[in-house]
Amino acid sequence: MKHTRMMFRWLLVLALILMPVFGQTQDIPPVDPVVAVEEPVAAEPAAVETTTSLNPEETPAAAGEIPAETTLTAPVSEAEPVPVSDAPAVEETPVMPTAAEVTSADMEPVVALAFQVTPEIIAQRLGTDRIALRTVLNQPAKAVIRLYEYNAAELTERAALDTDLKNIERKLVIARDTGQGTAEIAAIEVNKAAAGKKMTDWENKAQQRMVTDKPLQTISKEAVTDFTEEFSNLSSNTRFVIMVTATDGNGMSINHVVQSKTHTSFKPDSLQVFLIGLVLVLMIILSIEQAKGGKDFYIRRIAGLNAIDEAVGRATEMGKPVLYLTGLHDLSSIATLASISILSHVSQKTAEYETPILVPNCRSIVMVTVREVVKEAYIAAGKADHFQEDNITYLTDDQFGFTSGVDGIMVREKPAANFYLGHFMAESLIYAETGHSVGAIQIAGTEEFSQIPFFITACDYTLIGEELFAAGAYLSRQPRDVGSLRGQDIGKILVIALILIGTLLQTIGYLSGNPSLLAFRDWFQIN
Amino acid sequence: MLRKTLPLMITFLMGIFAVVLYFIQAEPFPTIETHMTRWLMIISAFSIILGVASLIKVNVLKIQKGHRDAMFSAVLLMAFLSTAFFGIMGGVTHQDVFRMNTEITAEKVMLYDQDGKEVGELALADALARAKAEGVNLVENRPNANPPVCRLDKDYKPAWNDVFKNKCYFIFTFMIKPMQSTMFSLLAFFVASAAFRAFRVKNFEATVLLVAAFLVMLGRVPVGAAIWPGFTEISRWIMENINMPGSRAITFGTAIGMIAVSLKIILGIERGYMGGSD
Repeated sequence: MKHTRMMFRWLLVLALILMPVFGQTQDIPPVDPVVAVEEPVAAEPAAVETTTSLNPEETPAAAGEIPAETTLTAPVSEAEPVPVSDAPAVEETPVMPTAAEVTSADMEPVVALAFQVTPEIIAQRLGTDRIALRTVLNQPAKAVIRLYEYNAAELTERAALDTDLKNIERKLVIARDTGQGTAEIAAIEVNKAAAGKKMTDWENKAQQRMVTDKPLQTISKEAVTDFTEEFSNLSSNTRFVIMVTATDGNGMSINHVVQSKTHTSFKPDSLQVFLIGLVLVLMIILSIEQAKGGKDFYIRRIAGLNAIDEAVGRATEMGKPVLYLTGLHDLSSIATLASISILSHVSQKTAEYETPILVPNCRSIVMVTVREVVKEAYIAAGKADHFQEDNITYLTDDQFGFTSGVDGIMVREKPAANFYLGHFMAESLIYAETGHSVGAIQIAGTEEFSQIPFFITACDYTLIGEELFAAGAYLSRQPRDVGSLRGQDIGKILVIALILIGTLLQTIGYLSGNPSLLAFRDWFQIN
Repeated sequence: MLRKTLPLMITFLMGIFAVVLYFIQAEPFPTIETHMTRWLMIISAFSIILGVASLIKVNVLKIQKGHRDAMFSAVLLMAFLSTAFFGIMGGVTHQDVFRMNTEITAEKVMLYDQDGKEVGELALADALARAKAEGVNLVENRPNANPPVCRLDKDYKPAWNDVFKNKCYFIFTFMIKPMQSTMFSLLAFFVASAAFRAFRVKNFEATVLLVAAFLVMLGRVPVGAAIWPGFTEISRWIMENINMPGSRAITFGTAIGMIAVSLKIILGIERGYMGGSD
């Protein structure tokens, strides 16, 4: 029986190791619908024809409403009375928008001339002082992009960018013979900017496809003309005019102008967030007031938190220390703050039982805070002389360096109780399995969804998601804390009700074809 | 007063301010936000000194006291000091480790001349010949491009030609990176051992877990589709219709929990992170 179990274990390990090896063949390049293939291309690559939408007649800018002739000053004055709608959502991180993200809905075409080189400009306001723009030309060209700050009286040039768009490859089409009379085609969109400028990882993707079982063959590289640039540190809350002058090298040139949208004082689409947040905050405050007024609320039992005393008691009986980790994040993370609150309770218990508590940290600022919290807890328990500052240490900011250090502590010190509460990533299972191997009772909790299964599998108790944030209130049992828990529960009931209503309206709207019923869902969509 | 009330007041003001910053993007708020972010970075930079001081103190004390782990502390301190020394004396950036001349292995390269002008796609031998004729180095700037982008550069000096950069490069490439990879690769074995325990049939729930996991695994490996193509569809259905709603429910709960904790911190109800609850 023992041998069978051992054999099963090794087979499982072998299967898990071999899985990715076989799994590689599953990655089939996506087939681009614009590529039409009838014959196997490996034999005759040149026979494969590709189609693209680079023709200006197919782009939104060439829809026919653009006047035939004008000058730079004309579009600005003409555009003045045009109401300018709010900009789309402000990006929280300065990420260059891809072609898919910068849509025609963000542009306001003012004028273009129908020369040979037709530039299309799509501008998107990314923040108070940043504008991203994407320029598409219908053929290789040199272009000058100029950015003007627009005031009622004058245009002031703020930035200019010369670029040669002739070296840009927009699409790489590769193919492989399936050996069954057909071909698999992958068309890789290229966001590569002009030579020497920003470049995305499209080439890496192409390389990855090259290592599949059948050789891939490049069958088409279309030249040209897609260029994305971002201007930053601009004057806040003013409107900008962007002009592209392009030439095909034969004296043919064109000006194309768009206006950036005005930046609003309030974040667009923030009304929904504000209202939902307000309702949740009011629920929580109301519940806290009710609890302070003496109302008794039921709190469901959380096994992981009830086990804290048991875990510390076990460590005391065994004469071994307690190990506590607050996770990878800094003090700016709510999960870390919630973890430190629980640590305050745990360290009071270790102080009462005179059991050493080890708290290695991977953020120095967290270490400083944790020292204060544990010291306060020892003082509160009347055991200040048992507080050992050097048990709360900083190891390293490096994720796996820290993991290695903690594993070393576990193996050397053999703690009887391990607490992993906070934000954890891939290292979670390494901690949990090492802790299991040294025989520690383990209590874990994280808000990171992807790591919860690992903790559930390898730890004795796991706080799932919100339980980590409820722990502080659960342990203190103060009326104001208990009230906040009830406020959270009301918030969850509200979310469940909204989901049910939305599902019902969406279903009825879909079946009846009534678009007004779909507006409920759309109201919650934030760009 | 100073120990509790002042931090609580600062927390309250900063918390309210952060909420306002989210909704209002008119000046002066974005500028203030930028400044606050910089303060945070500066404070964090100073806090690293505290961390390093703690690290050194703890390990020096262990060595002084002849602790049973003193050997590990000695190794740690030596590694720390040598890495810091070579890092300060010769920090390496990615531009210091380009391959050059005969180290380049691609058959074709996209060549740029010394002025940054494009020469075009050339066979590697032709590009090397041109570099030799001009008395300069052929430097591979973008090895992942297809073909790799190379430029002619007279003054390029790779990391391995500099005594400090060379050591720094060696430490990162041949010591730190392999050690990080080693720790990460432990996961493969731990996943197996954890899965073994999780999939033991102890009760009804564990049986359901085992069956679901087995179906998902079959649907995601080629052998599953080879046995019966329906495994792929079952796997997809389990992930999209059972796993996804469960994960979203947890995410909703987590988000509401975060709001509640944030509110309690702003209002000064949650004070555990300051030590004690009073």
